[in-house]
Amino acid sequence: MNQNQKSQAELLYEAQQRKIRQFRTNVALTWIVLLGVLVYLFSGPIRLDTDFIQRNSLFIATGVIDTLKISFLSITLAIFLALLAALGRLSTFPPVYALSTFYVSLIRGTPLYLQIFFFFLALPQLNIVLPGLVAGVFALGLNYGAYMSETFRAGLASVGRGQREAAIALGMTPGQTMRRIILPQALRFAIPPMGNDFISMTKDSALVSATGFVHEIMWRATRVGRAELNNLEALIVAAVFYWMMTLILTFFQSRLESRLAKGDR
Amino acid sequence: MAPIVKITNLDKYFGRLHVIKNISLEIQPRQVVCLIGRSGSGKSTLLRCINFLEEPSHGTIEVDGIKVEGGEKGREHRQQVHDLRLKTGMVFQEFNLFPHMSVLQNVIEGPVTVKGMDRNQAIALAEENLDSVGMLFKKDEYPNRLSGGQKQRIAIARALTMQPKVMLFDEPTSALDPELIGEVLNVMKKVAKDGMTMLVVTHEMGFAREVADRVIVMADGELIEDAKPEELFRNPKDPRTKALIDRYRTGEG
Repeated sequence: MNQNQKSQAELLYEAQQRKIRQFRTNVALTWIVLLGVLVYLFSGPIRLDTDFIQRNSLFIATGVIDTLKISFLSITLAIFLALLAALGRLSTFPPVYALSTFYVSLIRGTPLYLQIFFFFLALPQLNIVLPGLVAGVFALGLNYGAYMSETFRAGLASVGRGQREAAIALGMTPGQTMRRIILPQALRFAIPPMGNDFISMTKDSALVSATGFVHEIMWRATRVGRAELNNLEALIVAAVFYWMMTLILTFFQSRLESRLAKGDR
Repeated sequence: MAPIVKITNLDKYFGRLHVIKNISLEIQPRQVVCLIGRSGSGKSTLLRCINFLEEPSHGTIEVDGIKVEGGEKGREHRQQVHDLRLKTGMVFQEFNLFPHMSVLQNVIEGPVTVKGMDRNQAIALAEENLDSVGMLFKKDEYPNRLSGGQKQRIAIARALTMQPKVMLFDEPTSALDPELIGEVLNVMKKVAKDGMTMLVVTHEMGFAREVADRVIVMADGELIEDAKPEELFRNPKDPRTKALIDRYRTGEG
């Protein structure tokens, strides 16, 4: 009787596992089919200039370096600004609170594309001429900082009131409580969304190419594409590199996420 | 003997709600005082006013010679409140261990960060206290992997490692599964036996009867009765106390 029950539970479990495996297999098969359709389209019905692709792939691929460089610098600035804005939002001192909400409102209320052009094209009119990379980093960093401040704010809010009370009861000052107890927990909460933001920034950095001073993937692709009237091929190559980069970063992101989830520490 | 805790004319308002109504109370060193009352009677608020987790609206709190006026502001007041908090240890209903720190880190955090104690010295003290609550074997574990009873015992060790003069317990067993309450109460008995002054907000009448030197009953923001447990349980003077005790009796029976 007992053994019978156990095997029944096992049977149910196996059936469940089979179902999950089947689903995954079907999803993978569909992906392969879709990829196959794409490859077929561009090899048969749509004729691509393979000679152009061979000659220019390396040139476009080199843009990955600048794309990652601008994304990395921008996300660093964004994290810094987001943290300040999120902490400012907690302030009971009106000017600090106002500065924080003003910044977030202004940046979120205007397009990223406009902000990028503002730094490249509008500032020179005021005799402020920034190097291309610097202006790009300022624009992207300011923009992402405003959005990420909401992530940080949620992180700070996720730390329960009891944590603060326990720290205060031990005699910690507000500064110690923030540094030692609240922030470490809030940041852990904010790391996975920050990873997502970094990945989406690697793609938004393409907007910076419009100004023509940062030689990242998109700039290189449009340059060779226009020069030889092979925009189709150039953009496909650029898309492949962006996509591969995203896949690789997403892989690391999900590994980081599962590691954070496991120990909850 | 001079009282170690002296509360004088304490008032606390939440907005227009008058939660603590002109309470005065003295506790002698080594006394164990249980504070009972229906929920909403103000007993937790009274406890939280003692270490200024709630700022009293009026009145004074004095713990081991540190005297603080409620409702004041400024640098001097903040310093006084800080000194007062070093005299008190607190144990919460929800444990409030720091989840990003190991058990040992939780316990040494206060002494090292707040008191500037030497790390090795803090570890020695922490291990001694963890041992006395029976949790030394989990010192490298993280709080999420522990039971509620284990967490609360560690929270007690954490508060004790600050070497306070008075321990405040805010319904320390109310969030626990019934089978885990005993281990926490046993640790509290041990702390009481070691001579700690304790103020315990609780619903555990058995603990109050067995361990407390005094039981104080609160209702509607006032202290309505203050007596030795055997007296109070046998012969409650106020009808509200009688109703409270009867409720627990029927609950137990």
